[in-house]
Amino acid sequence: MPSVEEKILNALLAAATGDAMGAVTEQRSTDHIIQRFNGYVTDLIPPPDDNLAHGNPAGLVTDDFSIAYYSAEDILSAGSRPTKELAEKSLIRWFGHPEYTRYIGPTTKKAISALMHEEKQVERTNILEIIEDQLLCNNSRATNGAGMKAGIIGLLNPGNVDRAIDEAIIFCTPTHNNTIALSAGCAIAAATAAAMSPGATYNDTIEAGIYGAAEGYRKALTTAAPVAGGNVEKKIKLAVKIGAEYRNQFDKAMRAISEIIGGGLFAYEAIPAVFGHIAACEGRIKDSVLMGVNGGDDTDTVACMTGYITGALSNSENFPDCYIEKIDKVNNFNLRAMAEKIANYIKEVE
Amino acid sequence: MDKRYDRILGCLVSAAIGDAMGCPLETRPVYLIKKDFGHGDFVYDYMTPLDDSIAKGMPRAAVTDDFSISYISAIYFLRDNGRITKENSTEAILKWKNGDDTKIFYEKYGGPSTRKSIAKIEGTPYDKSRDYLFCENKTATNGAGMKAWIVGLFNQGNIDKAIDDALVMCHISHDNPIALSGGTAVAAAVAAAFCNNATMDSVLEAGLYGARIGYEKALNIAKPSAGASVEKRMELAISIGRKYSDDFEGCITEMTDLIGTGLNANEAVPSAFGYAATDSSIMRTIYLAINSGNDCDTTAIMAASIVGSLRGANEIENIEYHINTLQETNKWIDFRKMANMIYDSTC
Repeated sequence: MPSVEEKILNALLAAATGDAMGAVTEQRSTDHIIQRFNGYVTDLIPPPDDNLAHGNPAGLVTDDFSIAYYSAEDILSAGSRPTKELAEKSLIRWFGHPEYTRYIGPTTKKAISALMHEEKQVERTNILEIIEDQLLCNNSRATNGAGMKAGIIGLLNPGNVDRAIDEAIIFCTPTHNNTIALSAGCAIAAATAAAMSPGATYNDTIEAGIYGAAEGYRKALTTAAPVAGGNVEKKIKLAVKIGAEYRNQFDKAMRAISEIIGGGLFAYEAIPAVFGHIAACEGRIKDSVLMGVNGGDDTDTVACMTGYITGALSNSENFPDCYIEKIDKVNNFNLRAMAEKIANYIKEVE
Repeated sequence: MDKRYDRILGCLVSAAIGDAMGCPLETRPVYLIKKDFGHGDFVYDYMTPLDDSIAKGMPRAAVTDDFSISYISAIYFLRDNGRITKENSTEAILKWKNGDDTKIFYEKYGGPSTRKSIAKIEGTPYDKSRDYLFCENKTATNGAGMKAWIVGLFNQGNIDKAIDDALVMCHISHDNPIALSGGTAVAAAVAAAFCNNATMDSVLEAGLYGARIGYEKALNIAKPSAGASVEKRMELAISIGRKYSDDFEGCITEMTDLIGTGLNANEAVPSAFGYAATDSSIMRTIYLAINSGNDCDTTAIMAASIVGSLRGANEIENIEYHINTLQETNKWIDFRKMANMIYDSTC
């Protein structure tokens, strides 16, 4: 059985790999991906010149994994449980890295600019932003940016699903303080925490994800901004049903999930898709992550989240070790050292 | 009353009711509509918008961009004897943006796709920073569906022509196959409501056909995009509508939770068909859609135009109340005159 540290390294490798591969396919549909790359993308390759990642080297991750990595560094060096202040500090530090900030989503962008202007009123000139600012419910903020980074919170809470949910809310509130985005963040944190339990099965992670979405939504209702949009918990259940219907039929499962659930920017698309892919692939790391990479739309985010959960589960072969060196080199990361530090943190920080 | 005239008037009035009733509730989730507007219950009438909504400052029973752009487009189609061309669709969109009666709707509600396309037409500056992208998934919005119902009235019974005309009208503002698929679905369904022996089932079938054929045709003319399928989600939404046809609250809950009624064409359009699939009265269909919140004015105008065409004005309860209320607030609307003109130009 893999050690805690091995499970963490597997999760970091699979999440970073999914993100870096997805950076190449992001925005395209499955058919566009097959056309452009002569088949599915299954390796770390350089991005095309017509998507957000243009000009970047193979293996460079996006905002998804990098925000989580920088945040983990700050939490580990503080040696405390995650706090709002630590999360804000990491966001500002991350914002100094232009290789990642080009990917920034609308919700994170607005939050960081508010943090950096320290409550100072930024004068708005764009009419659409002025209208958005007057709204009680800004539904365009119900995005997947909480889910994309919340996997790291799951790694810090092995087997402790409830604390993972609470800390995901703390961690994601500075950027995604709305009910639907937080519900989705809690689903990913809870599923990753469950996957870290010794002997966990992929069904355990799905159940924890459904529980996390429900609990996260219930808790966020009292603290976060209201928004209208799909129900993350119920859409996870639907995605899992579709995934199970086409279990081990890679192409059929992936296409059905993309067509009905979607894999887009909204939290109630990308996060349910993750669980659909896990159900279809029975939690196998490579199949599940590659389904995210090739399912189309916000592929880097879907594949990255899937990587945390299936990697932590560690019930199958992972991407090759040489990816660790490749990813470390182009991103200036040290995934092995990060895994070791998280393993120590788990033992020491209660 | 002549059945064809009754259907045209039914479509126009129902569409406006759905748009104007949905308007103040737009952006809210279901539970906040009940809390802030319905005193704990659902809403069954025109409300006055609150200051925390997009419609802030607009009077009770005002329509939005959805109905206004469709109505102005009809005027321009009529000038060309009912033909729908790129030229008259463009003239209409510019008249809508700059005309005294309707410019408020552009200023208040104009979405990102519509604003950008008008800027291109008028030669004013717009954000080009993302033009290099192969796919632009943010433009997969419901702005084609919200106005393409009017195309159905100019293609009564002619489903294939309705699809082609919807592509002509909507491609100007929505260069996206998912958005266009939403538009062709609605146009096809309204056109099908005018067929002899039309039933709700035949109208829904036409909608599914419109979504599929429209998507295939749009792939050849529009910028590529990734996103969930309008057609596949319509199938799921229709099954939800049928299953919960007698359960008002259950239908809204299931539809908003699983399909959604948001800005994207693959949410609002399928939900509109899902509510139509309950095969309810015109007003009950409208109540289902407006109480769904999020982009509920657009969901409601699409559902209402489909059901209104199939059932006709005769089946709108208290139609005089609605016509008077809507025409009093929106002085530029004359439902009967418009219905007569469309009646005369089509046969």
